[in-house]
Amino acid sequence: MDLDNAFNGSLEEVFSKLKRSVWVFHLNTGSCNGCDIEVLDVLTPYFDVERFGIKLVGSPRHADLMLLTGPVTLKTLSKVLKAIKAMPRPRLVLVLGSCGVGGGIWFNTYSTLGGYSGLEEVLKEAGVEVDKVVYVPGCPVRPEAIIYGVAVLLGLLQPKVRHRRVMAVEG
Amino acid sequence: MVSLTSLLVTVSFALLPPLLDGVERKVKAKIQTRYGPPTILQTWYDLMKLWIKELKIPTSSESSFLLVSLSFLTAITALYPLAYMIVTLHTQFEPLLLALPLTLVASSHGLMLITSTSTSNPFAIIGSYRSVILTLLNEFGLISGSVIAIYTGLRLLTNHTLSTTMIYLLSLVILLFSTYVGGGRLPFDIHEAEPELASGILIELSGKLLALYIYTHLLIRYVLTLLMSVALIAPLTLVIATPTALPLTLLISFILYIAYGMIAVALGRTRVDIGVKTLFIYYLIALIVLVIFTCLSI
Repeated sequence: MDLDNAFNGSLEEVFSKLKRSVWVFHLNTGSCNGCDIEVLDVLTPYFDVERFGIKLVGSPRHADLMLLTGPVTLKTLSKVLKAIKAMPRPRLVLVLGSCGVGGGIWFNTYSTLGGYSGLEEVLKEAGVEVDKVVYVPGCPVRPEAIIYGVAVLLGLLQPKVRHRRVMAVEG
Repeated sequence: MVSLTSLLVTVSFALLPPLLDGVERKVKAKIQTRYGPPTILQTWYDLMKLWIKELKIPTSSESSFLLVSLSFLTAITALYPLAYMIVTLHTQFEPLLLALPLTLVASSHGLMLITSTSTSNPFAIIGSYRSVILTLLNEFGLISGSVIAIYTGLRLLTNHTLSTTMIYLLSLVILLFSTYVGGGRLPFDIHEAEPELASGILIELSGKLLALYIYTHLLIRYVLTLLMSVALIAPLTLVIATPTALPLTLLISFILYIAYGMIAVALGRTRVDIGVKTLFIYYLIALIVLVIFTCLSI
């Protein structure tokens, strides 16, 4: 059962609580595993993201933030949709790597959605709301950049650059 | 007056488990030479965050919130007889006070298991079956260990023989095992092993439901730690007064809670799937030795 009045209080209020405790769920949507290894790197004692209140969880039901890697292949699309839908609101997404951000070298191939921009449209059609998205480019994405991305997502830091979507022109 | 004091002690005990969990996380981080959570209040922050998140009721388990709430109340109630026992331990010992927390902890576990078996998620159901086997097996150690340890512990000062001391120590070992396992620590843990097993009884819970579940789980952990602390101070009850017994129990429970956490760190890479078999062998050996000592004392 999904509740229409998803969470108690405004998004800002919820974000103030989220700043102290962020539970993340890692989802590979067809990546080469380069970014996934960097995600694992972030979770090791070397980077120790627990010092920011970040914890890896095994179920999307427990997660506040989804770490999305890969260009979203058609094979994984239904599972990705289910996993994002299973997250309780507010849902946050951190799109990792060149493939996740814009499809990378797969941006206009037949078997992918070309990254999160394609997935965003599918999510809108399915009526699945995502409360905040932050893009962290890189091939593979650096562990420091992932931590920085989380800080930007939670409003702890301001983004250094702003994204601009560029559409591919046929021919 | 005693009842009121016990009630106040219960309320303060009920607020402790998330704080103790925060301390345990910091200690674990220190052992692994990392910083760990920012403060010892991290578990409280996690619970407060979960409380304001969206609640997604698991499919085909509409009564899950009621069941988890009941389980939470049962776990809180289990603290009261223990608090009463600690306050009155030097004057009297009521067997009912020992039976009550054991029954309430078992009921709390049972209610949790009903919640997860009622969902349509097969992984949650698989996780609950494993939890049922562990709980059933552990009940033996929990009941026999606590009853024998507290009874022999209380009689140790008046009946100071070698066999009584040996029975007391052995029952303490059994109780130590059972409180460790009952607290759901590695490798007898469904909760922490969940990402590894891709199954577990809490996989479908979210928001308030998950917050209540985690709080209940921490409360049960603390109830069992308190039970072990009571068994440890039982031989001292004739020589110490209530004002000393209470802080002493608190201190022992605090040290035990952290010690259990450190054992869990040491057993971090132990195989989870053979946990039931290992536990059965340990209990069997302990039972045989206990029977031999009891026969020798007779």
